[in-house]
Amino acid sequence: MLKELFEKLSKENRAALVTFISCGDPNLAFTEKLVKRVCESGSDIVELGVPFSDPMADGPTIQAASLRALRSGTNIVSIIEMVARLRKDGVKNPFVLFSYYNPIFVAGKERIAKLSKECGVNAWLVVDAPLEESAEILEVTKPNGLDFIPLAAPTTPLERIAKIAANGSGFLYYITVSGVTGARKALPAHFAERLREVRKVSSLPVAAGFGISTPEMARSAALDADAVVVGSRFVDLAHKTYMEQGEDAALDAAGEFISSLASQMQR
Amino acid sequence: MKASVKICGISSAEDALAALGCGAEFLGLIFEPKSPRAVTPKQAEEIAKAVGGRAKLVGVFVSQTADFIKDAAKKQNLFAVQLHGGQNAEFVKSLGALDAEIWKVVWLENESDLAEAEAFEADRILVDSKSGGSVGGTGKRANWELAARLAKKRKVILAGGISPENVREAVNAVCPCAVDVNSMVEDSPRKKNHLKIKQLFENLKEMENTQMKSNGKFGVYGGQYVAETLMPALQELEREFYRAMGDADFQDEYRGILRDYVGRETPLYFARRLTEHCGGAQIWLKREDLNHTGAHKVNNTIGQALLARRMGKRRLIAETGAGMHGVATATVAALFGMECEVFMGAEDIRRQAQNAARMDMLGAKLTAVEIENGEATLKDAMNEALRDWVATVENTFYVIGTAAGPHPYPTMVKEFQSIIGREAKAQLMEKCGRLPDQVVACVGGGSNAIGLYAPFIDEKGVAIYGAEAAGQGIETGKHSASMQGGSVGVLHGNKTYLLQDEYGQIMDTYSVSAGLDYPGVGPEHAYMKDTGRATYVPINDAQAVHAFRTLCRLEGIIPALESSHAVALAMENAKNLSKDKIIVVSLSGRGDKDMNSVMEYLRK
Repeated sequence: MLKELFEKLSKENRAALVTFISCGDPNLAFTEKLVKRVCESGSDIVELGVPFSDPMADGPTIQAASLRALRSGTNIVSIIEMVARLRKDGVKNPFVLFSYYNPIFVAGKERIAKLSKECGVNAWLVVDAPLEESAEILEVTKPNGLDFIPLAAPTTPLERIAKIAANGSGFLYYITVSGVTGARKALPAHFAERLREVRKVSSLPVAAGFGISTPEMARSAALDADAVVVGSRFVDLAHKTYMEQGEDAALDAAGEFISSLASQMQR
Repeated sequence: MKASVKICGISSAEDALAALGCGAEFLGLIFEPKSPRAVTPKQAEEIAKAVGGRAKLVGVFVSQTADFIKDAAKKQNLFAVQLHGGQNAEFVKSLGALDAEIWKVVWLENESDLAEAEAFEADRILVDSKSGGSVGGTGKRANWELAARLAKKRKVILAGGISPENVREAVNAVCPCAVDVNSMVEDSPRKKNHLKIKQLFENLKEMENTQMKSNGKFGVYGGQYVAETLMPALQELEREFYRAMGDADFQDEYRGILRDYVGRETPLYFARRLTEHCGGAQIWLKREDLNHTGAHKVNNTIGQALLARRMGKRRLIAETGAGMHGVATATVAALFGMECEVFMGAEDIRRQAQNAARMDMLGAKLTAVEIENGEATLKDAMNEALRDWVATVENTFYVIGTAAGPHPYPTMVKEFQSIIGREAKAQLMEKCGRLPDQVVACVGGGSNAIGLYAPFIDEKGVAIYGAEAAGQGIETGKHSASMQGGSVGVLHGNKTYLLQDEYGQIMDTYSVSAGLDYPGVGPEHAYMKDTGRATYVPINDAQAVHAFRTLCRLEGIIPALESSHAVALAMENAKNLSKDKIIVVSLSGRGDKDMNSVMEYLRK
């Protein structure tokens, strides 16, 4: 499904917009509405963030969001079951289950993979499963028809990026900065050059993520990437508006923000 | 990396059997009469008879004719003929269809030697040092750099001055299929030193044991579950670590600092009054509390700081629970003139105010880690250190203090802490002439424990015990005993036992001792628990504090609360053993830092 989407967007000369949602922040009922709204507002792909008690690769925004989600009783199973309801309601966008490995491992990787397939999840992205540890995950994603989204970083040598891309499917998530997740004011230096090199060696479409926070940054990232990911800035906006003005205002603000980014994806 | 060994210049059945007993795959018999280690065909036959096919015999020839060689090969059933003279390709052809491998000796001095060696028609190439006409045994080192290049293309046997001391370095540098050892393991040209041969094999085995784990897995445990950003740094660290292990200069510097700066070796002390009090087995304390900085942690921080310097990293970061690892890291940063930042849970800073002040005095930046709605402890400090590292990995070295974390950390921490066990083993041998019946240590992440256990793991007669922090009792849920009360999961880069819920969320832990207040455990401990090699026992706060007070009153030693868990377990075990049994306990640190915690506990 991701493959077809990228083929279609490539013909339209457009980058995909990917939205990261911290599921269960502050409760899963809100998340369900939020997913619908961002899909209607032009997000091509949604990453469903599974909360973890020890998010080592995340900055303060997503750490706090994860804790709120855990307090509301959200878990990996309830998130995947939400996907089934969204599919029933006709939402067709590809969903990437975005998680640390432990929630998957402890709940049972076979069980979670089967449930993912049944409920309509399209892919897994496991933050702390690099190439060397990916075999044990691929052995459950492959038979269940789930894409395994690999990650590459600024520290990854190009030869390794080629191997990483060949080991996964769907798209390659390129972490644009060395560091934890979180909104940043500008794209890193040499962003365009590096991304061109990455795309040259990657057999998969390349999504640029980490730190993208404004329509301007999204626009310039879309010129060099096959997809652009927005995360912390979006999580922050949705949460703050929810707390200050309530659910409807939060959905409206989220929808507007996503529309403003989606309009920048055309090259 | 695994290399076979050829012991060359064997001239008696006695030497042949000794080499065979140590594990030599090849025995070299020199047929050149001019050699001081020459054997006659008759002597060769006697040696072959004694060996009886249990080792492969290699005949070494210099000036002998093709017919002589063919005859010897057949009669002595030689596995290989080693051509040590100027024999050319034509000569090799004249040997015809031999039922033995052809090994050609080369001396590498330049590129053209290398090209010639690469092309030579032989089963293996033996790289020797130039020996001015004699048949080896000069003790001079060959050109390892060219040998390493040749070893990428041909099967290389490395000769020339290989000794028990440099064999690890040689194997690491050249990657040969075998090493050829001669003069460095003998008393005189016709008499091998059997102790030196044994030492050579022990050194090789130690290296293989370390490297066997080089994929970082202990059974299903361990691994490298980290963000991709860190992977290249971990791979570089792994390479440098193994190189350093085989580098004699690195080892010399490391040992020198442990001796002159840390004050090693630490005593192995017989706790007579404690033993009498328990009324059973003898309790011996390995006094890691007497190290500079007051705990075992410094053994490891020195090793890792030396690696950091070698890799050109100028900034050290560390996580700390009780503060001992933070202090030890701040200490080495001061010693090596490096920048240092230590992450410590806000709750632990309160509990361990004295150590917090020490880090400040030593010039380290102490960063308090806070979490929403909870008490930040060691786990949260480690999260924060990992977050820093992922952003600073280009110039920063993460000094992990516990035997957990992504590969190569568990293996590296074990290597640097194994000095505890190696010393204790040798000291007890000297004092009592035997191995202990039990070794006991406390286990949080498990660094002092794995260090004590390391040289005893293969000694099947030694029982291994670990004390886990049971806090207020496993049944209350307020504890840190991940192996007693946990399940398998993935945290901080490794797969291991964790205290977590059914959805893989890590639970809050508790122990009176900050250093054991961690929801996981090093992967090798998890493995030893499963295989039954080690027994892990819960020790609660009350038992630990009781042991703390007992050791103070009976021996005049104030132990760390962490170490008090080990003392408590040893006291329990000693009661059930007879007086001729011996227990060695790792007294991993001193307890000055714990005065407030103990007073507070006793007031409750």
